[in-house]
Amino acid sequence: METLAIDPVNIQGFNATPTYDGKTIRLALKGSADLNSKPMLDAMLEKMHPEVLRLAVREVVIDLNGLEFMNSSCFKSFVSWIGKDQDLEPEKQYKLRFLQNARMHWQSRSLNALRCFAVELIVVEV
Amino acid sequence: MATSIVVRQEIVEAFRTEALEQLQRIEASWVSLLEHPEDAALAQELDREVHTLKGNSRGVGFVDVGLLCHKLEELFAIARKRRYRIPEELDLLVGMAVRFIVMLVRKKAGQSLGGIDLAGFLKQIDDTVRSCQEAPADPAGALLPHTPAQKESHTDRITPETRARAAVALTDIFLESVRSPREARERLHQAWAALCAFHATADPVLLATRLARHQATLPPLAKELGKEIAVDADGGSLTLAPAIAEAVDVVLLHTLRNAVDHGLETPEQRRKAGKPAAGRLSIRADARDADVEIVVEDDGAGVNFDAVRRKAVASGLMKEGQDVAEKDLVDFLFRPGFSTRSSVSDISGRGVGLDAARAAIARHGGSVSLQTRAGRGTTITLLLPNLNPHLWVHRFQSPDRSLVITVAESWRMRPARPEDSAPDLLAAAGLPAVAPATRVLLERDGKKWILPVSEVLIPARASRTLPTPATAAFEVVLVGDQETLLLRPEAVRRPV
Repeated sequence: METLAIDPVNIQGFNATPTYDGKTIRLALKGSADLNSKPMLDAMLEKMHPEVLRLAVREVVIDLNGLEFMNSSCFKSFVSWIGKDQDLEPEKQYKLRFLQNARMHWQSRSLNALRCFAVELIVVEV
Repeated sequence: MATSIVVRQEIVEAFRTEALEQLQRIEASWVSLLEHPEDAALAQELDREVHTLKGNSRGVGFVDVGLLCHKLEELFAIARKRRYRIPEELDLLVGMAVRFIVMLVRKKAGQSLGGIDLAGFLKQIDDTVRSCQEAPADPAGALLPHTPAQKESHTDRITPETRARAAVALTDIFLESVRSPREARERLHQAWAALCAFHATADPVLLATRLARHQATLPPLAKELGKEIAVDADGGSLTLAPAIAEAVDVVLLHTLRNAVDHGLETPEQRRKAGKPAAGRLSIRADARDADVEIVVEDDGAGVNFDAVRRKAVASGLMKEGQDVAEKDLVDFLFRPGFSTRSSVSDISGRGVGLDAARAAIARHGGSVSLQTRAGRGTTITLLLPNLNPHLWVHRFQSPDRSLVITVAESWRMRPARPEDSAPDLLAAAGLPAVAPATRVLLERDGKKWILPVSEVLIPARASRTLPTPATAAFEVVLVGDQETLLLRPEAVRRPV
């Protein structure tokens, strides 16, 4: 099985751990994503799209259960990622499944807006 | 038929290019405003940009973009009310809305983008607007620090920034030629002149195509308002510099929308007034010496001065019963935020229109005037210099007489006295300095420089053919046909 060529991000107050089980890429975010974590998060998400294509993955799961806060700049990085997915030929487009923490109301509002960009590609699950 | 399809495609492509540039500016202005909430001019600029984009999008049939721009205006209005100290959620929604519009603008017919849910997104905005209106503004704000958004390039048009960078590079070549020995100097100067010629003629804009675009947008707009219109546009073979063309576009957009929305009557009203059911609107452009004159004329109802008076009183611009001449009332129409409309529609009524037109035209040294006759219509005349901007300069022969140096007249100049002490401008600017015959003192805002020269020439008007940014120390300007080197002392680093 091929392996995922993306390193985890682990800085004070925030970590992002990508894993690959041969079928799905999973990205678990924990802590607080703010300006300090943005450069690392951006760099990671930048690598994510080509990796998804290289591994021919059909779905990426983004687990936000442990994420307490994400500022707007970090959130916009996901918008950019979605844009790359949308630009693909329909047969190459992949799904982004966000696992939401129901206790975090900001997640619900933000993810609902995010989903409107591409309802066929973005799934939000509680 | 085929021709009209081609024209339509060109119009849509031009819209896409411009809209993406506008969205970049909107995103950058928004980020900047959150960092500098006190910048009122920037806030107005932001409102104008989104209002212009809304108008343009409606004209080319991008109704979804128009709708979202309207919602964006609502979000901006909330942010303005809160002096741009806003919750993170609102900032995120604005950022998403801009990206959403980018997506809609870029979307081609038949392209699958994975299911855009515009209605859902609009609802999200409505919900947020509602919750923000219900919640009291937090004076401390919930704002976190922001970093400027990454700009993405979607166009190969020459942007003003690229032009400015090219001008700086060309000025460097000119300076290198000045510093070089005679043979190299001539070769470098020839290369410089060839590049300047290219720079000057790159990206010219045929006015007629711009007018055709506006002409096409008006009948659908009128129809939407329950009106009829016949539009006549004549731009001849006039070409404009890109920056001027952009200003003309903004001005036309706002004046034409105002004419259709405010000036033109419904067919029934026109019949009662003894006019044909369809209103007439003409756009004519002519070259007048070095200026371009554009006249927009309609045969509508004219300006309703009673409504202007009422609004001016309500806005505190005049007192009830005060005698104000009609020409002064007309001036109110050009004030930011002034609208005679009591309600806001998604076409006009936000008071962003004529002030945007005047601001756009004033930036290029132009003027706009309005004449109106009750029941007979309104004529708006725009006068724009289609020339390079100019400035008055002091002129000096350089110490080695190899070139003429110019300095803006805003710097006071007098012969230096022996006791005058100030840094040497030529040395600080890295220009060749030889033993001078004369020293002059330049002074402005408490800053002084000594400029060594061989001769002081008569002040003159210089033409800015290759404008560099105000932060650049040098610019090549023309006095008559002569190339001279404009020195900006304010941009030269003072020696420690």
